[in-house]
Amino acid sequence: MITDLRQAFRLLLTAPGFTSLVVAVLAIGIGATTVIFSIVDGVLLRPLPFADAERLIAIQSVTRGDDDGTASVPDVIDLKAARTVQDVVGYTGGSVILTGRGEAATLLTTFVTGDLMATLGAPLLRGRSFADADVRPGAAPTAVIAEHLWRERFGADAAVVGGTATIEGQACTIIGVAPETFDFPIQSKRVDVWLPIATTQIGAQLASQRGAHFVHTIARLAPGASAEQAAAELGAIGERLAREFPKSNAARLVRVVPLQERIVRQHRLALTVLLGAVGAVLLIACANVANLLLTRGVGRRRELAIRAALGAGRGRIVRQLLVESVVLSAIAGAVGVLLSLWGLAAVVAASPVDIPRLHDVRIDRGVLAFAALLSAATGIAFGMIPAFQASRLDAGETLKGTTIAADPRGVRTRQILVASEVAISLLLLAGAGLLGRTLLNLQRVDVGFAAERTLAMEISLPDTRYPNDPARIAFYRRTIDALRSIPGVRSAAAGSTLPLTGNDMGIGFRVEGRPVRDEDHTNAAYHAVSPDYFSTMGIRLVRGRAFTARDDEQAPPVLVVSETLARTYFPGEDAIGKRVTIGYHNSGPREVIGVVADVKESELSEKAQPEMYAPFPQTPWPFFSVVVRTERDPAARAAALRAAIVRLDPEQPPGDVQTLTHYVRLATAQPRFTATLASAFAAIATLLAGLGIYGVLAYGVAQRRREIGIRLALGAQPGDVRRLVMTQAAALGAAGLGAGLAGALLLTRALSSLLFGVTASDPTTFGAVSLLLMAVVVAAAYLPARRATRVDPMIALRAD
Amino acid sequence: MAENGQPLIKLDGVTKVFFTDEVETHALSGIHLQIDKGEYVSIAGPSGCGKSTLLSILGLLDSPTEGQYFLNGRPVAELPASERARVRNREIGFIFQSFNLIGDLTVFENVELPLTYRGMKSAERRQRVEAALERVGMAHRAKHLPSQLSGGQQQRVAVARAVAGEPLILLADEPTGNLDSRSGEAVMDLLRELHRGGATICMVTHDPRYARHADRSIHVFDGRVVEEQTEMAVTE
Repeated sequence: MITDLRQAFRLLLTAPGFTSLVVAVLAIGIGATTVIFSIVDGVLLRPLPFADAERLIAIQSVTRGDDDGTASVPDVIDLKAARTVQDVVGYTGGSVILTGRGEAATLLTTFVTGDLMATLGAPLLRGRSFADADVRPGAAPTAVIAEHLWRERFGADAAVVGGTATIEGQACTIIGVAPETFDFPIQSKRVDVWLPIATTQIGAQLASQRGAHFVHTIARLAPGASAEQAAAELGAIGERLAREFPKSNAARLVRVVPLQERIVRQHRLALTVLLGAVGAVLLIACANVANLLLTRGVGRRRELAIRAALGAGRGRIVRQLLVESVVLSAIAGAVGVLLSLWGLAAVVAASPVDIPRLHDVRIDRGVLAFAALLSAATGIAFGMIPAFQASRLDAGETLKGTTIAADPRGVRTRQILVASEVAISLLLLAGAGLLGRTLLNLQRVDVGFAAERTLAMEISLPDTRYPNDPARIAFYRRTIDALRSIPGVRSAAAGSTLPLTGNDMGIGFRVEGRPVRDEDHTNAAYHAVSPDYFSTMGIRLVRGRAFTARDDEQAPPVLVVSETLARTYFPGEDAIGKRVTIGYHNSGPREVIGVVADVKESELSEKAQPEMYAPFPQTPWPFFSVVVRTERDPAARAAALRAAIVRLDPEQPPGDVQTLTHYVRLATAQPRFTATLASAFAAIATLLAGLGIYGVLAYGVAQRRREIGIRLALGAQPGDVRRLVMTQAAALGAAGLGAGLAGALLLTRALSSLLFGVTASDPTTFGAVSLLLMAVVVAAAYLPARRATRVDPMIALRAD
Repeated sequence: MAENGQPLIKLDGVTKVFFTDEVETHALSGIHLQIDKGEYVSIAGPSGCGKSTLLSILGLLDSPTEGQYFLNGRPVAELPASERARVRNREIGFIFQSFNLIGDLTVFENVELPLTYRGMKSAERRQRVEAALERVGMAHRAKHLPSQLSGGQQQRVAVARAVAGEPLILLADEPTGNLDSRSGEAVMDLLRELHRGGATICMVTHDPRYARHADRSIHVFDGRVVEEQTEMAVTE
């Protein structure tokens, strides 16, 4: 084996061009595969960083037909009765304001209904987690802070536990510090603080309502209990709740999924598709290298014949050649890993998608082991066919020199390999094409508002300084007035939430005069907005009127609804003048005064959903987002926006200022990420397939020089010879395209749920990528074809 | 003589020099040669004397460094590549020492090959190929691949390919060089028969037995024509 290795290294050094080419092709394949595998491993496969993570479950209270759902806090309390689970806890995200520790800061917060750390089996760095007494309504405010907050804002004070922090204007006792290794929920930004859900007024208010389904619920399987048993028991509790509380729960059922599955589910298909794509690229790289080795094998026939003549058996020759392949792949693997370090950083940086744990993905020992295995397997995969082909030669004939150079079996193998490369490339191009068209379609979606030249900022009002509706409404009015007076701002408005910002709010409602069945799911996206909201956002008024300043807290309650709501709930009728009661602010029935165009609330691909708008002063919230429309470049007004808020209330930290175009762009981030990577892999695959075709044809021309010379001697024109080579290329391309189209039609179906506005078998996409690939085939054939026309016909006069 | 009163082939002071780095190799030096229509000429000489170079110039596979080449009264030495290919295809029939049949094509397709380059219609091609194969006695092997034939049979197919296009002249390069004596004789008989039928043949050979089949034998040495013998002298 040592001799084989030594000879392999010597051989590779004697052909640096060949070695470099093979290493480059393989390194690209191995590097790209390693990058995507590391992401798949880090995001999908690696257990969550909690004790016995496989026993953690998510309990979903879903509306029939939905994939995911949240529960109400009273539901969570009832679910705790189950014996098959323990440490049932609900949580939801939000933000709070920290003051008194340097500049006022908005903290990313997780509000909990119980001891989240106990559920997750996560020990604290200091102190303790929440006890039942801490989360009861009316309990003294407590907080568990994250290690980074402890270091940044509390100077890593060893005595922090037992001390207080001013959160939302009230003194909260810090009971614990969570270590840097703990982060939950797992998302792109780290949580700063965990608080009992009743810390804020709105939290306390919602936590008491059976119909406020806003918390995610997790639990740990009880010792000895299985997930199936838990699902059965929790499902039964859900059914009981539906019977006991039909108004809020009749349309709901309780489901159980592994926690990891719930966290990664929405990214599983896209990442699996990318892993498949990159695997296909590696396969093409292997086919290319196998082709190169087959070609080189022809040149080494004499050497191998001498080895055979000297007594080397077939197995010995195969071993020698496989050692060479594996040495090549090992070098390529090392280069590939180096490439993957850069590639992973580039992919993570280019990924604006909120893929959980993506930023923690590393090229670690596990990934390195994968790369090593992949390299070895690759070496064997691409080395096997050339090794066996080379070992089958007739040593006697080869040494006599009577064997003609062209080996029909080798030629056929090469042709099959190249046709396969074309087929796989087509598959990838078709997938990338479909994802690309999806992206284009999403970018063309009418979001229902005019995002250009707008700026938005979230504002959260602490209960202590804005304890009641009048205080909140006053600040809201002062804010809009202040923003309106900023030079360059054309109009300013506010909404409880803004579309596509990731904050959406649903609310149940009832139409006056209609019987309501409990199982009916009458829910709409809801916004409490200022009078200029529709004009500032550019939302088209379809009928009736928009809100005015007169629609204030003293005025009769009114409502504006979306076209879809009007069409769905008032079919064949005029929605204007109808009266609707919403499940918030018991202000009685509201009169519908206007109908506006539909707006995309959370996803561009979603169907229009019912939406309703109420005047903010009539349904005030302790948080809202402001939006301004500017005369020119909105980014230039961002600082002025922040300054205006600080001037109004120095203790009010201004929120993140973003353009609405940023949020619209974020809404296409996931499809853009998938389409970009898939396109990159398809491009690499096509390039490699083109190189493969070039290689096979160039080799074919070299092998057929004599035949071409004879044809030229017999009077063939250069065009005839060119046609000969191009026909061969076209045949290879057509065979590959045929197989690729068949495969693509089957496999792109798996992409269906990632597509928008295009079917998985879209003929335009398939036609376009087929043409593109054929163009690549023709381009790859051009040089060999031109070389063929330059064969000297004198070759025909020379004897073999 | 050709129909226009000119010799079918006329070489006038043809010289061929190969240049490699700093070395000049004079393969042919001032060759003067005429071949009339219907003549059977053999070119003989030792290895490296320039026979093959001469044949390649006659077959328009190569061009002279100096001198003139008239084919059927028309100067052809300076023709562009595409026109040379056209002339090769229509006016010259090649018979090679190593047969040069294309292994992937059947006997029929091999004979048909030069006709396809003329853009000839399929029916006419078929007729000509069948006639040519009939003429060399290989019609029954039309569907075979070259590898299924003996050397002598392959050369007969090569002859059929050369005559199928009804060229002005047949150029044969050592046509028996790769054959046993019996097959060689059979091929020579075939050429003689073609000659009797009116074909003009120019054959390179170093075998005096076969040179005798020709009307005239030209001896080349060191790139020059050193001797010409007529049929009588050859026979003696």
